[in-house]
Amino acid sequence: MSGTRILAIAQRIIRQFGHDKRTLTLLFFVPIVVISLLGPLLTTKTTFKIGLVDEDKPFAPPASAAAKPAVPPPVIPGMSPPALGNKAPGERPKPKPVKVSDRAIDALKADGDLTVTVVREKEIPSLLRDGQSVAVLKFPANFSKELLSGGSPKATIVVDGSNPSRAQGAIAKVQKALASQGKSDSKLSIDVGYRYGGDNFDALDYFAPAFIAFFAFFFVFLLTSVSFLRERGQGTIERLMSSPASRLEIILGYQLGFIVFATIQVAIIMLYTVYALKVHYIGNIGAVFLVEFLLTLVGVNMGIFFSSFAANELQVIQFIPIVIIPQALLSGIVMSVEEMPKYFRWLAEVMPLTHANNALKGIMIKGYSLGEVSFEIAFLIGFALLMVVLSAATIRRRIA
Amino acid sequence: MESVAMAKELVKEFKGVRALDGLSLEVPSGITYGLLGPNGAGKTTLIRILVGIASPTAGEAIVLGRRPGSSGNAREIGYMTQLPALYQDLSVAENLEFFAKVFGLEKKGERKQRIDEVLELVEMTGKQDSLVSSLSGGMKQRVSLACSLVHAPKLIFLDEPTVGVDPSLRRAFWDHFKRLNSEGVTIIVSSHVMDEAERCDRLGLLRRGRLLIEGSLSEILSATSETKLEEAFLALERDGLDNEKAGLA
Ligand SMILES: Nc1ncnc2c1ncn2[C@@H]1O[C@H](COP(=O)(O)OP(=O)(O)OP(=O)(O)O)[C@@H](O)[C@H]1O
Ligand SMILES: [Mg+2]
Repeated sequence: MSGTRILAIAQRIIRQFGHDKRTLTLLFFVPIVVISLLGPLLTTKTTFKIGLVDEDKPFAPPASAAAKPAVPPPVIPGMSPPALGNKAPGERPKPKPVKVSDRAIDALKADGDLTVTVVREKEIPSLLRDGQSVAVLKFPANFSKELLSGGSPKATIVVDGSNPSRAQGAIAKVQKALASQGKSDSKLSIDVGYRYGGDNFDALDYFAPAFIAFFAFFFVFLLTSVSFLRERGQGTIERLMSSPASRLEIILGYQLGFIVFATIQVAIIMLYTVYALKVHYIGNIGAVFLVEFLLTLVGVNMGIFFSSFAANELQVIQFIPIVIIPQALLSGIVMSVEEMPKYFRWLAEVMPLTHANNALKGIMIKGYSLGEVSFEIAFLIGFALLMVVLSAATIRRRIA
Repeated sequence: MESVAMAKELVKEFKGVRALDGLSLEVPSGITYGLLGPNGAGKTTLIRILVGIASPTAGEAIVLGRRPGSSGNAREIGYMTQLPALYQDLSVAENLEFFAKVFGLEKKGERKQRIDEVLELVEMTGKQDSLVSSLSGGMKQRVSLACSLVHAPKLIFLDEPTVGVDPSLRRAFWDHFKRLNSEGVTIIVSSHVMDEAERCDRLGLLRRGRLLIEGSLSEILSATSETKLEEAFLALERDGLDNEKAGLA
C-alpha cells in the first residue's frame, strides 16, 4: 500500500474537476438552488381562498323561548350556540334579532390562512372551475331561525376535489376556524410540548438533513460512474492496472478525491441552510461529516461497481431511475419510512440513503450522539465494505 | 542468452474466439523484438498477458523472472497501449506527472527531470500545458509514448507506437529505442509497418494466435527464400492457408 499512489490518484481526480468548472458549479451550487426553491415551497403555510354564500337572515327568538334555558344543539362541531340572554323572568324585554352566520363569518375572516370572499350561489361553479376558490361555504336561509328554534340546520361546503390534499386541507381549516369561534366558552385547553424540534421548526428543518445526504450521494455516485467509465473507455485503466497501483489503492484514491468534493459540498449546504435559510441544527457537526464521509464511500464504490455495467455515458444516465430515484422516494425524504406500506419498508431498509437520512435526522434534529445512531453507522460501514469488495471485483471487467 | 520474457503454450480464449492458440516465445534481453501479424492475430492479447493485465486461459509466462502482474514487475515495465491511454481532461504535463507518481517516481526533482526528458524526446515541450483533448491524433500518440517511458522501465511493451506519427519523428523514436537497447532496455513492439519491422533485432510473425516463424530478419528471409520481409510474410501466410486446407482435406 502506497500513500503516494493513493494521493496521486486523489489529486488527479481533483485536478480533472478543476479543469471542469461546469461540473464543479453543478456540484456546489445546484444543491443550494434546489434547496432555495424547495424551502419556500415546504415552509409556506398553506392558505386557502374560500367563497361564502350567506342566505341566512336575522332571527329574533320569541320571548317565551328566550326564557327557556334550553340550548339548541350546535350545527358545526365545536361551534357554541349563541348566547340567548339570561334576563330574570318576569321582565319580558323584547329579544334582539340574532344572525348566527355572521359570527361564523367573523371567525373565518379572523383566520389568517383563509381569504374569505362573499359570493352569490350562482357563482359557485365558476369560482371552483377557475380556481378562485378552493371551497365555498354556504349558510342556507333560515339558518339562524332553525338553529334558535331548536332545529339542526346544515351549512354546506363545496370543495374542488381535483386536488384531494388541498380540498382536505381547506375543509379542516374551515372546521377549525368555526370551532375556535366557540373557544372562549370552552373549558378545554391544551398545552403543547415538543419532545423534538419545536414550534419554531418547520418542514425545511425536517428536510434539510435528507437533502444533504441525497445530494452528496447523487453527485458522488454519478460522477464516479462517469469518471470510471471514461477510465475504461480511454484505456487509462489498462495503464493503471499495469502500474504498481493495486485495485485497493485505486479505489482508495478515488474515495479520497471524491471525499474532498463531498465535504466541500456538505459544508456549503450546511452554511447556506443555517445562515441563509435559518434551518435549525442542534447536533454535532463532526458526526454529520462522519455520516457524510461514509455515504461518500458508498457512493464512490457503487459508482465504480455500476460503471462496469455501463457501456457509455447514456447508460450511466440510466442509473438515475434505477439507483437514485427509488432511494429518493423511499429513503424517507418524501415520506417517513415508518409510514410506508410494509413491502416498501423492507426495500427502504436495505438502501444506504435511508440509513444516512435516519442518522442525519437523528443527529441534526434530535441531537443524537454517534452512539445513538450506531446501528445506522454500522449499516453504512457494512454497505461501504460490501461495495468496496464488489467494485474491486469488477474493476478489471472489460479488460481481461 | 538471458531471456526477459518467455511464453509457453499460451492459450487465450474469449467467448468463441481463440486469440492465442498455444503460442510459445522467448525474448532475449537488451534487444528490440518485433511482433508482426495481421489484424486479430493476437499481438495485443499477447502483450496484455505478458504485461500482466490479462490472464491466459492456459499456458504460462515468465517476465523479468517473475509471473506477469506480480508487483515487482510493475515498476520495471512500461506499457504503451494501442490507443492513447491518456486523461483527455488533463494537460500533457499533468498526465505525465500522474503516471510518473503512480509508477513510483516519488521524488519531485527526479520526476521533474524525467518529465522534461520524455517531453523533449517526443518533441512536446512547448505543448506541456495543453489539454490532451485539444491535441492532434499523432500528438496524443507521442504523449502516450512519453507516459510509458517516464519511469525509465527496463522492459517496454509498445503496441503500434508509431501509428499517426510523422516520418521524421518516427525515425527519432526508433533512434531512441536503439539508444535504450544499448542501455540494456528491452523493447517488445508490435507493428504493421515493414520498414520498421526491419529495424527490429528479432521478429515474431503471428497469425491466428500462433507463431508462424521467429528469428532475425536475415534468418527469416533465408528460411523463406525471399528478399523482402513483406514477401516472406505473404509467403508464410499462403503456406499457412495451404497447410490448413491440407489439414481439412
Ligand atoms: N476483450 C475481448 N473480448 C473478445 N474478443 C477479443 C477481446 N480482445 C481480443 N479479442 C479477439 O481476439 C483476437 C485477437 O485480438 P488482438 O487484439 O490480440 O489482435 P491484434 O493482433 O492486436 O490485432 P490488431 O493488429 O488489429 O491490433 C481477435 O479475434 C479479437 O476479436
Ligand atoms: Mg492490437
